[in-house]
Amino acid sequence: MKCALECDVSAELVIGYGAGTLDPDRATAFERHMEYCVACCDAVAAQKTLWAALDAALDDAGQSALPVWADFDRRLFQRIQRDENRNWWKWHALVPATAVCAALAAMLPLRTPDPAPLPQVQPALQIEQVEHALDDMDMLNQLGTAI
Amino acid sequence: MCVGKLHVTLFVVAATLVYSPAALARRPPAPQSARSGATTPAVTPIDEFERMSPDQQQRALARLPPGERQKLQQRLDRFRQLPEAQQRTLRNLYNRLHQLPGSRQESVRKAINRFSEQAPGRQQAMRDELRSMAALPERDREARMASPEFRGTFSRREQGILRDMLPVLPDR
Repeated sequence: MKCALECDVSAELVIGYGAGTLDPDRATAFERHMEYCVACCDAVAAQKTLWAALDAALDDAGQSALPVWADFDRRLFQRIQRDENRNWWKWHALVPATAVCAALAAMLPLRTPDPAPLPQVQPALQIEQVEHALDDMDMLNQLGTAI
Repeated sequence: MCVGKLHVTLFVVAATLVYSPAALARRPPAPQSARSGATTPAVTPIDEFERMSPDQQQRALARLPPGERQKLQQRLDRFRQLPEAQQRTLRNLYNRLHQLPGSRQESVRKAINRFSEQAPGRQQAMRDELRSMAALPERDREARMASPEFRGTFSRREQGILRDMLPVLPDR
């Protein structure tokens, strides 16, 4: 028999042997293989350790003997759903966000930076200006409404 | 907020930014003609004074000695009492005068002073001539002044006065 691990036939063989689910012929053949295959021996040993740990974690009724929150499953599925929703929002918000960015980019040539505002000194109206304007009005009024 | 509303909101924001008149209309205002026509809103220092609050007007007037202050107020009252059409004409003349370079403004002022020295009948003849020329396009005004009729009607001095007044006539 070829080595299941080195020949990459199937790890299922090792796992099945460790779990005791192989039919007797295949199990016998695999045991003969292990007589000279160190890799498979190690893999089976690791499998047996794992199964022993699992057996220790379960009570006789097959229930978990470890202290686990009663609503562990519900919390787990809520968290999975929340993560999925978060990712979903990210992707769906990306489309309009891209549209906004494109709009802003399109506006760049239009919104050229305004020149720095110069300090606008708005001179208060001087009463002398009013006097001069009235002088000009009187002068121009000589032309009458001809123009 | 549901996703549909979010999409609508963001697209509305984008569309508003792109198509907002403020974004598109960032262009400098159209330059105003140096010698615009009679329809140009004319804002003179008198108009600015009239727009001031009574308190501001009093503070501005307070800079003058009492006698001058009263005189100025009387002049303002006289201007206010002019017919609206005459006020509008004077504002337009004033603005056209002040849009001219300083040297040409001075020529116009001197021409009007010379005009005021003429006999009333000659003043009226020149007013009539100005009214006729105001209705003509600019090139036709030159032709009119070069015409034998014009030269026969007005003395050389009067022709000079009229020529110097031409810049305040509205464009046609």
